[in-house]
Order: sequence, then structure tokens, then C-alpha cells
Amino acid sequence: MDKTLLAAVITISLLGIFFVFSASSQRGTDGPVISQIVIKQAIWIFAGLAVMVLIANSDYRRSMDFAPIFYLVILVLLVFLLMLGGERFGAKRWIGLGFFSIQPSEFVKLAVILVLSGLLRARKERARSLGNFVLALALVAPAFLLIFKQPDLGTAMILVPVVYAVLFVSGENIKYMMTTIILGLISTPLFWNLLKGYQKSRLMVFLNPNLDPLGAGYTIIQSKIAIGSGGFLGKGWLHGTQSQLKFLPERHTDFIFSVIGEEWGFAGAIVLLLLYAIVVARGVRIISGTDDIFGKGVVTGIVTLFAVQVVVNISMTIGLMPVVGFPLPLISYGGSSAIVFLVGTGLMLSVSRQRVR
Amino acid sequence: MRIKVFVRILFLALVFVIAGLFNIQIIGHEAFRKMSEGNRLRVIPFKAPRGGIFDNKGRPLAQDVICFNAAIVYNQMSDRKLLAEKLSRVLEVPLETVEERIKNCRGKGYLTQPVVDDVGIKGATLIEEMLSDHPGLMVDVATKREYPGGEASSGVIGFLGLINSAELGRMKPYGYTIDDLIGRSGLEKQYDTYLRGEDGGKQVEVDHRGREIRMLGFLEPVPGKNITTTIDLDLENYCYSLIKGRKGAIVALDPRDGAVKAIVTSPAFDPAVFIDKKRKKEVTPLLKNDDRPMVMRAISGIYPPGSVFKVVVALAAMERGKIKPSTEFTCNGFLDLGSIKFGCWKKDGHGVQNVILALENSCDVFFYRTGLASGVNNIIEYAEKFGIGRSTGIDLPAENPGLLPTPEWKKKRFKQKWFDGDTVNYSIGQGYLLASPLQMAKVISVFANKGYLVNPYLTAKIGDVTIENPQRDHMNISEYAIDTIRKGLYDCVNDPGGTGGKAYNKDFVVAGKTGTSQTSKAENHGWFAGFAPYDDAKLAVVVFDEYGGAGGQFAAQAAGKVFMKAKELGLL
Repeated sequence: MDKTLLAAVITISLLGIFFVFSASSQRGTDGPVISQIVIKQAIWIFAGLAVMVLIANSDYRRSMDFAPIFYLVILVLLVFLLMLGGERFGAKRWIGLGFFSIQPSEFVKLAVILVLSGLLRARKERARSLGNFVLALALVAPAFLLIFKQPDLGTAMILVPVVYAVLFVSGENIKYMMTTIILGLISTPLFWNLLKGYQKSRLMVFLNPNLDPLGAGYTIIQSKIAIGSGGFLGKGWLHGTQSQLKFLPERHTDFIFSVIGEEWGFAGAIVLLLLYAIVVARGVRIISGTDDIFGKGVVTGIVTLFAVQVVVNISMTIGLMPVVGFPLPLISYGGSSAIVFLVGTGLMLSVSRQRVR
Repeated sequence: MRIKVFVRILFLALVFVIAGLFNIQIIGHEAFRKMSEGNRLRVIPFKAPRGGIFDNKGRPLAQDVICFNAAIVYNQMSDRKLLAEKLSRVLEVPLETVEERIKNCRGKGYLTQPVVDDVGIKGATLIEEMLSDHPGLMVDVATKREYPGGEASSGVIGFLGLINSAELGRMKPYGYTIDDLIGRSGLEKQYDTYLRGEDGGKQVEVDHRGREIRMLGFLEPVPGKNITTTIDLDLENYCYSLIKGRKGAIVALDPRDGAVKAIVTSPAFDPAVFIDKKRKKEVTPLLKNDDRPMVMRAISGIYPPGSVFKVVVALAAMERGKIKPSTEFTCNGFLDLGSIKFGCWKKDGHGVQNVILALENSCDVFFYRTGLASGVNNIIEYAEKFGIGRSTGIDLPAENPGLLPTPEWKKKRFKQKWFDGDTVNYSIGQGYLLASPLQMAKVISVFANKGYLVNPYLTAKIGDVTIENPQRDHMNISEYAIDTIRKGLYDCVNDPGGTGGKAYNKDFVVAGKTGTSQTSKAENHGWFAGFAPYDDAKLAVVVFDEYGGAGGQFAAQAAGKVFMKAKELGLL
């Protein structure tokens, strides 16, 4: 088993708890108070780590059998959510289950990776064929459309690089991939009309945050102030004024990196990026080390998911990308996301353990 | 190998993110650090109370006093409409005003903002009773400037106004800020830098809604310094009561050292108008008034001094030996210069006059001849010695130096040579000559103190520090000339035929000179300049009565009353 990968993921998860603690603390006279949010996050992380270890010690190939059912259940949940779900921030994303709620759009990422890899493995004799390529896209299309309809633009868009990375690494025809990507780019303007008002304003504000400094642009401006004011070494854990005095919105969820950048500075940010780089690098090593198409696909999907979410999330906090609204893996508060990444890591570890060579 | 391409793309993405972080955390750090400090730090200013202005017995002419304002903290209010209605009803102020001011507090978050000013102790009590029903409401203790000196002292006290942007630019290094009041005239302006204190404040850390989280620093405001003047409030008020309703000025000073005891102007204004928000409407009429209440006539108004100037002409002629006390001229009611006849105010003439009689009767013909005998340059030389045409240097702004005409001046101004007729007009204080009432008080003081030119002043103490008085100047004029003119001034008031009889007092001896100067209008200016007691003068008084008629009438009478009041107050 890849111990380096295991250590990096555990370190990131623990850092996450510390920064959820900082982001949700109140600077009062009595010092920081442990909030419910931290306790919930810690429960999810530790439960997730336990699941991760279980999966790591089992045979990942067994998940091939569950994949279609898992994918179907998620699709049904997404349909159910579209019809009945409670709306938050203009989108229907959560299913309430008593004291916690789950976010099917997080699980859909894992389901798509598993079902796609399963398909590629089952039809590996017909790899590179047009039929194979069309079939692969047709398989993941329902998930993409349902999430786009939610609307959860961020998650929908992240499926694109994940699916293409899996297809690419498992050896599908590059011509087909390039053609569809170019077609997609050409038709982008048509999608503009499908976007909801808040999504359009987020994109406009990305181009110029000062368009609406107290509205949609406020978060980006405050986030840049937080990270920029952190400087090289940061203001110290629990001492970030932007976050502790609540100038920064969404600071324990999508913008938790702003808290890290403010309190730990450039140095802390680099340390965190290196930890993620270790996860990705070990992932790449595992991909190279296996001949199993299913294993290759799963690890590629998960590594891409890690990389894209980290890069896009951090880029949006420093104003280099629009605010798309998805979490920083294993750091942002949120049980569904944490479980998905820890289960994903469990699968990576399992592949590393059962390498063929 | 596809995996290599995959790795390269991921590596580029990592470089992209690190470059972005480097850009704002290292390169842009300083700018973002400042923005972050700006977010969290607020300075809540505490205005320093302005120093008071007091009379010589410590009675206030202007001072900051505690007042109570109804104030709100906007973000803590529950029902704005209800509160506005209740405040309006309880404090008896228009509802619209209260609503408007509450509305204006919207952006102020958690800062205390006054919405009804100066509600008095009764109003404060009423608000206290409302506090429990209205979160966000409070009684705010502040200071406001009061003017017990009122209209009477308006000329000397002056008024305050909001600092403008040009002044702010100039005064910023001295601690002036945007909402500062600054002295616009009078002592308020002259001693502004002493009167204003140093504002204090506290620096606090606030959260995203502007709530105070903790205090980081506190700077105690330093109150401004008090100014103690030489003014006697009772005499000041009395002088104003005499001239109120007329136009003019009264100056009363100690002829021994130049300490001003009273200095009033009329019409005047209430300085409170300029700082009371409720009386804003009264400002423009004051500034536009044709009678010019904002002009301090005693120092900024310049007028022909008329016959009061004869004391200067007489002295000049005697000092230069042009006349002696025994020199006599005959007055037939006019002087014929060939081309023009110059009349005496008494048409049928005064007959034979010497200098003493001429001062008593204010005979014009005698002084025409004296002036012509002396020559214009001699008159100018002595007028200069008496400080005519030059600021007195009193510690007030906007002093007008007046006009001491010379032949060169006339040539430049009118492109004409100096005629004998100009000298004749000069001799009785007419023509181009212009002087302020305070300058004439200096002139008359020379005869009160027997030969010294005083430099008038108003300030005795700044804070606890006693101010060194300006020294008086020895005039180096002969005793006999002074004595002769003093005799004339004595007779003017005390001889039954003298023009200044209305200033007479039976309990002590007043001496003085009347003046009636012709103007371009039908009415003349009346003047009286005198001193008392005659032998040991403790007070010199000048009354200027603008378009008020002959100086022997109101002016002399008013001066007499001032001396009487001064005696009553123990100043003589």
C-alpha cells in the first residue's frame, strides 16, 4: 500500500479540521469556541478515513459490480431532487436526512468515474472505436444533464475534464476527443442563455469584481484582501482579521482557502499545494504501475478530480477564475465531499496494493 | 506516452496557481494589507471642547457647555418610524426633520449619531424614560458653543463656521479635520489655534457589520485654551444698549496702557446663528443686509473723523511754532480763498478765537487758517505720529488702516495737484481723510495720558499665561502744547458754550472733542472722543454715530453715559 499517499491525505484532512475550526470560530473575549460545524466535520473525516482504510484493504475490482447500481441510484436521486428538493442559493442540491443532509452531486463524480471505467474495461477489445467513444459519452450524459439542470454548473463542468482524462489515459481515440471539445467550445455562447441570473452575474463579476463590490463581487474582493494581506508567513492561525471578523463570506465552505492564505500566508499555501501535489504524483505512479484498464480509469478519474478542484477552487479565491462554487478537497466543510474524496483515495490505495506488475 | 502529457498539464496548472498566489501574497501584499487594516480598524473621534472667551472678571463671553442630544445607533434600532414619531411628539420638533436625520444615519452602522440636538435636561429625562422601549436610542452628551456675550460682543467675539476645503488643505498639518469649526472673525478667528483643542479618539477593531469588537487605543482630547480679555462685560453690554438701533461704534479703553474695556458695533449679530442648525435660515439675511452687521465698525469701518481731528492739527501747528496759545484768528463765518469760500459751521462766525476757544467752539475758520499756516506736510507728519493711516495692531482680524492722504497720493489717484482747498478740508478732518473709531481712541488717549501713544489690546491671558501688554510709545511732544489742547478739551465739555456739553458730569471731570463730519448723504456722522477723569484719566471713550447728526448731540450724550456707567462700575 502507498504509505506516502496515505500520510498526505490524512495530513490534508486534519488540516481541514483545523481550518474549519478557525473559519467557524468567533473572536470573543472568552477565546475561540468549538462550533457544531467543527464537530460535524471531524465526524465525517474520521468516518471517511475508516471507510478509506476498509476499501484500501479490499479488492477495488469488486466495485465494478456495484458501479451500475450505484450510478442508477444516484441518477434516481438527482431526478427526485429536481422534483422535490429544497432550494438553497438558487439551486436544488441537498437531500435532507434528519440531522445531516447529503449532496448527490458530489457522489455523482465517483459514480461516473466508476461506471465509465467499468465500461472501458468491459469493452477493452473495441477501444479506440467510434462506437466505444459514443457509448462512453452516452453513458455519462444523463448525469451531466441532470446536474446542469439543478443547476450546479461547477460540478457539471468538472465532469468534462474528469471524463476526458479517463478516456485519454485509457487510450481512446484522440481525434474524436478533440472534435467534441472543439464542437463544445463553439457552442458555448448558446449555453449563456441557459444560465440562471446568479450564474451570469458571477461570470460578469469575475471579469470585473468592482461591477458590484457589495453584491456578487464582494466575496472575490474580500477573499483577495484576505489572501493578499496574509503575505509570506500569514497572520497566524485564528488571527486572520478578514475571517475572524467575518468580512469574508462562505469562509468555512468554498472560500476556506482564503482563511488558509490569510492565516498561514504564501508559505502555508505552498505547503498545502505540495501535499496535494504528492497525492497527484502518487496517483500518477499508481496509474503507470497497473495494467488493469478499470484501475487505471478509476485512479485517473480521482486524481483529475483532486487536481481540477484544487486548482479551480484556489484560482477562484484569488480572482483568476469565476466563482463556480465547489469545495477544496478534504478541507472545505462538507460531509459528502469528504466522503467522496476519502472513498476515492481508498480505491487508489487498493489499486496500489494490487498492482499487477 | 499519454500519461506524460497528462502529468505535464497538471504541472502547468500547479505553476499557474503558485504564480497567482505569489502575485497577490508577495507582490501585492502591501496594498492588500492596507485594505485589510482599513476593513477592521475604525477611529471614533472625540472632539476637544473649544476654549472659552472671558471678560476681565472671568465672566464668559463665549464658551463650550455640556448639552444633551437625542442620538441613535442605526443598526440597533427596531422600529424607526415609531421612534421618529415619538421623538417628534415628546421633544416637540417637526416629524420630517427627525425622519430625515434618522435616514441620514443609515450608512453609520454602529456609530452613535445625534438626531435631535440640544434637547435640554428635561428632554434628556424624557428620552431616558423611553430607552427601554426603543433599542438603539440613547442620550448623547456633547458640547455646544454658547455666547453669553450675545449681540453686544459679536464684533469682538466673532463667529465660527465649518472649515472649507481650501483651508483644510492648508491647515491639515495643524490637526484640523473635515468637520471642524473654525473662527471666521473676531477673537474666534484671531486665537483659533489656541482656542481649539486637540481632538482625541479611540481606535477600535470592528467586525463586518461595524460592531466594536475591542478597543486598541485611546487618546484623551486636550481642551482648547481659555482666552481672558480686558473687556468689562457690564460696560460692553451697556455700550451696546446705548447704540443699539443706530449705526455706529463705541470704543472705551484705558488710556494709560491701551487695554480695551468695551468695543461694540451696531448693527450686530447673534454669533449662535452660525452654529445652530435650527437657525440656518438666518445666516443669509445677515450676510446680505445693507446695514452690514457683519462689519466690525470700530476697527473695520473708516470714516472722515471731522472736527475730532482738530486736536492733531492744533498740536502740529504748535509744535512747529506756527501758532502759539496766544495766536488769534477772527472768524466771520467763512474763509475766502479767492476762488472758493469755505464756511464755518456757525454761519455768523465765532469772532476772535484762540486755540483753546476754537477747540471749545469747534471753530472751523480758526483751523482753516492754522492748517494753511502749518502746511499740509506738517499735518501729515503729525497725523502719522498719531497712528492715522496705519493699523493699530489690536489683536483682532480685519482691521482697516484707513486713509491718510498726501499730495503724492492725490496725484497718483486723481492725477491732480494738491490745492490749498485740500489743506483747508484736511484741517477740519474732512476731504479724503478716513479713520476708524479705534484709531481716534488712540488719538484722544495721547491727551488723556499726556503724551503717550498707546497700542490697544484685548487679551490679558491665554490659558494661565499672562500676555505681555504692548508697550506705549513716548511721543516727544512738548508739555505746553498738550496742556493747551487739554484745556480746550476741558472747556469743550465743561464750559456752558462748549459743543461737548452733553458729555458733562457733575461728579467727575470729563474732557473731549466733538466731531460732525459731512458725508455724501444729507445726514452727517457724529463723533465724540473724550476721557475722564480730567486730571488722572482712567478711561478714554470714542462714540461714532453713523449718519446720526451732530457730534454734540447723541455722540456726546452717549459718551457721557458711558463715563457715568464706568464710574458706577468702579472703572474711574
